[in-house]
Amino acid sequence: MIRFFAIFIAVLAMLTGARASESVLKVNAGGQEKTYTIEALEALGVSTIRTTTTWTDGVQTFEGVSLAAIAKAHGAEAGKLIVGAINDYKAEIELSEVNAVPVMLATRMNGERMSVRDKGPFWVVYPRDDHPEFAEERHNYKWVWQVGTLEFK
Amino acid sequence: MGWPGLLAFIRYGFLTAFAVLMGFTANAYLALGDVQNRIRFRVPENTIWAAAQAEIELGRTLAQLAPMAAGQDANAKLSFQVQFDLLWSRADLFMNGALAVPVEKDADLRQVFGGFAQDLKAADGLVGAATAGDSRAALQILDLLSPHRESLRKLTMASLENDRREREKLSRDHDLMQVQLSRFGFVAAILLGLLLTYLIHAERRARHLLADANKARSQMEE
Repeated sequence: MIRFFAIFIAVLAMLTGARASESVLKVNAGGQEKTYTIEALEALGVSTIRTTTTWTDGVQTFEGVSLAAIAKAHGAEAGKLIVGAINDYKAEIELSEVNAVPVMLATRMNGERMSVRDKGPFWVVYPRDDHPEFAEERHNYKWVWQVGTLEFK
Repeated sequence: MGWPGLLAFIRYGFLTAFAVLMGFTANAYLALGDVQNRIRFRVPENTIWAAAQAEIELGRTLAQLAPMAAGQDANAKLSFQVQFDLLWSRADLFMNGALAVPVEKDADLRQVFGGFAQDLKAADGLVGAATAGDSRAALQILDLLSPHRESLRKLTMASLENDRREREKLSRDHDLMQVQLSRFGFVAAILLGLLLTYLIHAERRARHLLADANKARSQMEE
């Protein structure tokens, strides 16, 4: 019985801990690192994109913060953005592209928070239905999901 | 058929042949555009990537599980729960969206992947306990997922094979469309040249006739 409760409490503690650690975003710009919770990130301003994706069926509604807004908040105007996932996948995006097209770091899909299983908690989303050039296969690598870090260079 | 009738026949014949050829050329041009779009928007590379990612995440999950099943610390960067969620998200790629289509189309792959998804769901109920340090739960998950190294390898190989076949087909279609387009364009250019020659000839003939008619009228007036 004691063993059962110990496991139960440990499971609860680890799940809470895991959810907390996986739901933060580390942003590094000019050597300075800042950690955001989902709510803190959303305080930068939430926008919406309705688009299809290669990995989902039908049109999805994404809400999140534009990468341009995050760049602006960190004083990054030109250069590159390295987006890192929690499994160490990395993709490089030009800031000129981020400033020209409303690319988003989505925090919700169809009104719901996204778990790691649903490619969350942060997912780079391109408005590919409004900008069909981003529906080309060569852009898919930039739709980083399970994002854990952003690095402005 | 007299000379004027023959001329009219040739004229309409040219025009019809030219219109038909233009139709074929336009059709070949659109077909070429379609092939080029398929090259730009194709999905197989993603399928290979997703299959390889699923294999990698399964490998990481099993590597983390092995010491856990032996009652030792996994010493991993991510908690087992997060690692399992990552694996789940990779499996989910083959259940929704464009990547689900190749699996759905192939009965063998569907069966292979279905088995993996089923065992993943069975393991899901044990993940909490394993994450908390229950070695028996970790061992059970290990037993459930280990056989799927082969399943996912099969999925990757099938994705590669599909990709190779599609690339070959696209390449053949592309070459065929290009050859057709250049042939139609060449014949259309010849026809256009002949039509132009005919029009110049007809125009000169009309001018001569007009000059002759004017000459005859002025002679009559005199």
